[in-house]
Amino acid sequence: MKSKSLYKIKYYFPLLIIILISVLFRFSRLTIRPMHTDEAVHAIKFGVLLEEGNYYYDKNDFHGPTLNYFTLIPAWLRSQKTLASLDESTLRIVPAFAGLGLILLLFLLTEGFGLPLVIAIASLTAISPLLIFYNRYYIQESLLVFFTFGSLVSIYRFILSRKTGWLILTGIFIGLMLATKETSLINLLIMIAAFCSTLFFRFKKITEIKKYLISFKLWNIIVIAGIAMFISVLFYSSFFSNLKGITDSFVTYKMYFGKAGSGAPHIHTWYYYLQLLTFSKSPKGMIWSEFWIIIAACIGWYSLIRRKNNYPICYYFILFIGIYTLMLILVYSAIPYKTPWNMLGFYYGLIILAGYGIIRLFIDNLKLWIKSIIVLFLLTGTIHLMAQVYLLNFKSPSDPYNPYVYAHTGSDIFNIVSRVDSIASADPQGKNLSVDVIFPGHDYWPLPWYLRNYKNIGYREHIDLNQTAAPLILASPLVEKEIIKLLYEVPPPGERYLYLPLFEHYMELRPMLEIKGYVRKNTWDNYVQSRN
Amino acid sequence: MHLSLILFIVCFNFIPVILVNAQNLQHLEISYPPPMYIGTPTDMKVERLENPWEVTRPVFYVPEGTHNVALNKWIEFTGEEPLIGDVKLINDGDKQGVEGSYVELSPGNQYITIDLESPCNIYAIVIWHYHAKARVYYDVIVQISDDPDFLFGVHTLFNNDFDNSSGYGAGENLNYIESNEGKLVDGKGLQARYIRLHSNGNNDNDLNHYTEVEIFGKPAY
Repeated sequence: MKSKSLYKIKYYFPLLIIILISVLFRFSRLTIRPMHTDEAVHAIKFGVLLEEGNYYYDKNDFHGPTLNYFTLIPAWLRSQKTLASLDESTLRIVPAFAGLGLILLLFLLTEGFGLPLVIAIASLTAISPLLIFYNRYYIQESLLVFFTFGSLVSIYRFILSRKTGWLILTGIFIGLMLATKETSLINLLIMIAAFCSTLFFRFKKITEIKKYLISFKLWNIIVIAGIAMFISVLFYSSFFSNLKGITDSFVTYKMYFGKAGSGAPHIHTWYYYLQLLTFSKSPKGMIWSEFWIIIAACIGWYSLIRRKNNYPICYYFILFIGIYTLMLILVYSAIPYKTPWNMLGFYYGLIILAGYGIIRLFIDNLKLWIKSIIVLFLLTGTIHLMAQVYLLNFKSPSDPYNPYVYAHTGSDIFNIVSRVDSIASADPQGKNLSVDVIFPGHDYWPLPWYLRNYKNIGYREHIDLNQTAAPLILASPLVEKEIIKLLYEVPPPGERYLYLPLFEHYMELRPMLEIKGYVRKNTWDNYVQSRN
Repeated sequence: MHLSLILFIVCFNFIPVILVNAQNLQHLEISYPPPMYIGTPTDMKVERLENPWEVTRPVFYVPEGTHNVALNKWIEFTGEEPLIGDVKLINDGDKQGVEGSYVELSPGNQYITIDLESPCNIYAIVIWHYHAKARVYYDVIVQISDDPDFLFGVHTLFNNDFDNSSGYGAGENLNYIESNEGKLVDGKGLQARYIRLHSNGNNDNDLNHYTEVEIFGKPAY
């Protein structure tokens, strides 16, 4: 009895530490990274849901509705009822919780996996730079990984216990997956393929496989599919207020698979993801890499393959994760459309394999000096990973050399917004000050998020020469010629006000995307007067 | 034959128009004299005084081709003959602020009128009264018109005569401290031939001074 409680303390204490580290890395200083365009787009869409209670699924863009609906929870808890009252913490806390949820889900695997393996996986999850970076990112990926892993854990628990509750939970998680992002269909199809492959590895013969499959009742599948469909329909129809969303949730696949194949601006080489994970270097000499996890995952894979006898169900679950991960890597690498956050799907599989690999190394009867080298390897890896977590998330979260930064808003955005706010606060109009934002191709994001408090703000692709120029203009240098017309050719004499540059230095929204500011002299004069 | 001739004439006439319209923004090129005093005196007991610029004035945008249209143009003034200097010093390009570069006009409410010789679109007017000391000139009013007598079509661009002591209407602009950067007034692209500048002494004495006036614009025709 005493030894059992000691066993628990021995393992639950490290787990508690892991959870604390995970919370620290995921929830602290969520506002320091500028909002990416995609984050800002989702934030504005969520603002409509928050203020008006309306969400309409758009089959062309923005992905599924779960991110928006789940964000209602922190917004309500923080009594934020308008878009203006929101902040980045309210938004980013949702994926951060999904990241923490990945660790909490591991507790459901202790039966079969054992606490050492759970600790190994949890500790890698807690200090993974890639996971942490996107767990602090207001996009769907973290939720998708959480729901996907949730569905796998639930089905695993069902296979172990055959209790209907796990079946229902599996259906809920799959439904949430489908309602999160269109790419979940790829994950689902690969799950089925990986499941079939795992059965083949286990039983070798078709007849045996058939016999095993028959052990599942038809109603099991009906329950999972029915609940998944119901949850998916519930979200896509905006809780039955927009039935068109249901059909659109199917039509969207045509759009997305077209986008995945060609034509989109995010086309990359097949080894793009592997390169990001293995090696990139900052100008200051820092090497960004998660090869520690990849090496450990390879060891895990090797350990899985070399075992030839029948083993407990958890072994086959990890084998399934291994096959599933490998298939995801192959499929996602084959799809020309690539963005770094898409790595999350297979990356979590790599972490589980890595955890398994590490545990196998310690279980296997290796010599002491080899084990010492392994410990040294793990310590070095842990330090390197944690240093990367700090540097990538807290030191250079929007630096273009950060491997997970992708077409990201630069830190200039804070200076841009600060200057605009200062000008507006000094003006008698305050936040009612008219502002024109003009960028061809709607390239002005994430300004709609940062300037969400401004009531008289117009976002345009081109200058409308029929309108009077606003006292404050933010624009792409590409439209400068049009601005001349707007300021000095179209208005009648007496309305051709003097403007001056809003910024003293070169400013950019994103790397290579310059932003220019123009402020009317009398507005600037008010600002200067307010400074003393 | 006729068609090609017509096309040639049309193109020949329109190309220069297109080229002229394709203008660029340029920065307002104001050259500043060296400062004559350092820092702002704190004991300035003047009502409605604006805060001085903390840093060098930023550049302003103006349409391409904008230049000082007042340079060496004819100037009329009120009051007696200047007590120091000549009115030609007001628009000779010298804004050093040292003796010999400014004109001292009669005390009290006085004005000068600059004749640009032809109507111009005016984008900015920069005035240096006297910047050897941190002074505030009272009742500074800047008006423009196409009428030399300023009876019709008068536009007031700046007026800090808040109590209407000069009789041209109460203004809402603030008093300001003279500096080497002068006072920049937005011309708003208004079209005028004549520019009139009023003042009514300063916080040191009743005299009126002008070191330089620059008017940045483009001929209207």
